[in-house]
Amino acid sequence: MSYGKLLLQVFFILVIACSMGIGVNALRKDGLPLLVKANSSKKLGFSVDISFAKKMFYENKAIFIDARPKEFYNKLHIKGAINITPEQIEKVTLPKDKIIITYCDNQMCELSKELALELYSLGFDKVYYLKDGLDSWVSHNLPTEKEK
Amino acid sequence: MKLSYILRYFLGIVFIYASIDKIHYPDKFLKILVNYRLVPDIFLNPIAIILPWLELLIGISLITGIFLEAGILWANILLIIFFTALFIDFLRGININCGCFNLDTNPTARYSMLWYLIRDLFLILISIYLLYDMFKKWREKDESPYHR
Repeated sequence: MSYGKLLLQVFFILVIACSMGIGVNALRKDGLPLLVKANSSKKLGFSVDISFAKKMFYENKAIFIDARPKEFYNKLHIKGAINITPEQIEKVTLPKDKIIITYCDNQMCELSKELALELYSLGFDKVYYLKDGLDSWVSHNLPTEKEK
Repeated sequence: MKLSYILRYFLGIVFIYASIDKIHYPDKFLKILVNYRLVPDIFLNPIAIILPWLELLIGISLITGIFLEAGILWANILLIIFFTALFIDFLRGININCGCFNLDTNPTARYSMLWYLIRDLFLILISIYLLYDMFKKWREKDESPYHR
């Protein structure tokens, strides 16, 4: 066996794995998108887009969590959302059977992703963060409220 | 039975077993990959789709002996990558579910990072031994009068 032949075999295994992975993924109903598209309507790992969040909101299937500091939450938040920052996560109790959607201001904000990862580490496997955050919620004229 | 055969079959079964849950639940595996916080977003989905199949093929290669040398080399490459990823998260103080064999997110079903590292190191030692054995056989073949 030469090194050239070995490398060829290594490459061959990779090609077969790619073909099988991509092929089976394309055939299955719950397959993942191969490449993450910015405007995909699917759940992508931890992130969900506005159409999924809207559906969950109107079907009352999800708990919305505002990951921003209290003063921002008080000014404006998704109707019915609760306020938990990543630092407060240890103190709260949430139902494990419900979908949890975290959000913060927009795509530039990392708090919602951070919070979703923290919740996931605590055993919540139905946790997602809203891509584009509150900005996209507001731009779609979805219900918001202010803290009194 | 020679030691290298026993280790080969053992590692093969480990790789096949490790691939089953990941192939079955790509969305759960994707979340575990995100939780490592090491892989750029663009690579997450392709890795979640292809890696489990690569593990399956490595396992089949080790057990059947088809493309054995490439299977051993891939086993070494993957185990070293897994160990490095776990070690980086261990140093960063991130306690994750490694997602090596089961994708259960429940923290009670999770082992400590140190256990994951020790287990991975044990598998690396086996794969390095197989690699050493492979090169030894090559050398013996090259030195054999029948191969001159």
